Amino acid sequence: TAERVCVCVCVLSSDVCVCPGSSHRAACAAGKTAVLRLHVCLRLRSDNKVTVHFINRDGEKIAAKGSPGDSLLDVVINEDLDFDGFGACEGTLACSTCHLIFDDEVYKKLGPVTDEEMDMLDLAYGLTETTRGKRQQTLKVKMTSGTAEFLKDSFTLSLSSRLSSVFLSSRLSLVFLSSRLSPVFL
Amino acid sequence: MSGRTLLWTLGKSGWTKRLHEGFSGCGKAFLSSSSPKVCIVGSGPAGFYTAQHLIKARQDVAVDIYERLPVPFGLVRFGVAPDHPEVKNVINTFTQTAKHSRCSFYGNVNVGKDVSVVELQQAYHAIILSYGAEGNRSVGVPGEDLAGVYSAKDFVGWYNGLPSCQELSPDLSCETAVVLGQGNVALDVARILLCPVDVLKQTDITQPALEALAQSQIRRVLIVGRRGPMQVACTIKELREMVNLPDSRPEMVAADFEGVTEALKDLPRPRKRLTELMLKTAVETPGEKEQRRRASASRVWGFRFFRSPVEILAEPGRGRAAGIRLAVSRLEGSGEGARAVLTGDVEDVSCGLVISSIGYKSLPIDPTVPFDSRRAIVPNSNGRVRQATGLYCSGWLKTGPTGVIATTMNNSFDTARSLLEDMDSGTLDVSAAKPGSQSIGALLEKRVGPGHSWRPYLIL
Repeated sequence: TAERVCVCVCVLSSDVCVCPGSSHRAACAAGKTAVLRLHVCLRLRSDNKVTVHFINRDGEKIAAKGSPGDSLLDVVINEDLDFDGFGACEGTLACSTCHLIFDDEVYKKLGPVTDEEMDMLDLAYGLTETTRGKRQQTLKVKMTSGTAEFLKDSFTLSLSSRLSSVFLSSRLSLVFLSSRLSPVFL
Repeated sequence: MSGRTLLWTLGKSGWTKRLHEGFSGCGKAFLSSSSPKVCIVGSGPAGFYTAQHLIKARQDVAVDIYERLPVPFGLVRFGVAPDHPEVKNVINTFTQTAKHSRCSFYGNVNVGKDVSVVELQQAYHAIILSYGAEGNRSVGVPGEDLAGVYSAKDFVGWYNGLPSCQELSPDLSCETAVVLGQGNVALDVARILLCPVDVLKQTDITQPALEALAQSQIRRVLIVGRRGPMQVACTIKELREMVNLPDSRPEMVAADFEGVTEALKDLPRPRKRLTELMLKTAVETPGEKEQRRRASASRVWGFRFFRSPVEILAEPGRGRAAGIRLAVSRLEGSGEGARAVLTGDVEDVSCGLVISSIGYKSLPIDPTVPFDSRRAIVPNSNGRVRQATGLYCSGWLKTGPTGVIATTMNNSFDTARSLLEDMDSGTLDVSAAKPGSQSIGALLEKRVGPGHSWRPYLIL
């Protein structure tokens, strides 16, 4: 399903301002003379998937896509990944057949481990310091690169989390959008 | 079905989807008579995981699973505690396997009695014995036959609905129960004995067991072991459940934990976390909230270490258990290999219920199959039965009666791999056609009679 998002692009004499929706229009333009003002309606395609790379026990790297909110076990099942002998308890934290070993960097970013998860992992074959139960890791959509910082002030976070990247060039009066967004000019 | 289960079943693909080609719910695949035919004896996790692996690996293998009981799944159905329903989720994947076009399940067939292994070998290219451990180790002390003394296997079978254990009617009118053994089964028994009835009501425990437990007078359960805290065979999840059991408080002997704190740092993580939790529960003064909770608890549980049963004592004039005489032991050596040595002292504990949970035991079912009676397993090398061709084993029969479902899964995959290797290399000749279930079926009809329902069991 597509979602429509309205933004207001105000090109000022010295600057470009991009604001969400029409509510900000008045506040933004007050005190400044806009050279150009555009209302841009963005239709977002909701295939905002995240790529996950799995490495199986033979060292093979397998890439798969998941949706935000999926658990990694959901990704393995939905994407039909060729792994053997996982999911004995069907994701209810009652066995140790699905567990993942993460790089230190990634492991540190994961949420806290519960006692119950640790108890199950104690039974896991090939346990390491950076093992986590697969069922427990949900995908978070992350903004990539510096565009996040730039836009954070202009957009609410929930809006920016939907866009993979929006480039704003101070020299130009239009907003360049990534290929995932198809702008509709009103 | 819950939404999550439905999603699981619909979305499930990958390695189970690859098994399901030909899933039609009725008619099985017609296979040429020269396709390799494998017979698996026993339909618990070992049997099903071995079957799964074989079916996935080769498109021409047909697997028939024979089971003594009318229903499949073995200990997953009859051994897993009723308050651990998630562990039983494997039944879903096993059901899918049984429905596969190249897999057939036959219940009510007693291999060794209704049909011999030799007869199976004539009908199949390979036999995989995965019938687990239906016996139990006996304590071997006087008084073991008194009323009020049960094996954990029978007690668990009773509350789980195993047909042969439904007449057990254990008397729960005493105050103290003693469980011998400190593995997960011992903790399951202790937990079911002390679990609040409101919680048990929500599980699939049998109605008679629920009613008996609702009337139970048991308020104290001692879980007794010959060795010390660092030798317990249970795992941390089960221990944590005891610690968190509503309306129950722990009571242990602090002196039993001497030297444990010092030894912690050298332990591997699973043993370390388990020992830490036990130590904390046994000797630490808890916070206020926990202190209040313990003070108001109506039931007590605790480990008793360094105690070995020497006799179960009867009530004078009655043939029922009234107490147990325990010999005091001390430890020689440390770690997994530590041995209990008797000191000469004894201690009597009053109790009306004694449950021995010192291990299941495999039994030989056919004289032509090699059997190691000391270890109670079928002697094998990677699942290939020693001094036999075309005979394999998986699960507890192969490695002894310990391990969770995941352990059995790996164990079974190993055996399947051995068989596949032998088929591929020609060590096992699968070129000659074999009749499979057709000849066994005819044999059973003749021997047991047409009324006997050995027919393919429809899994509902």
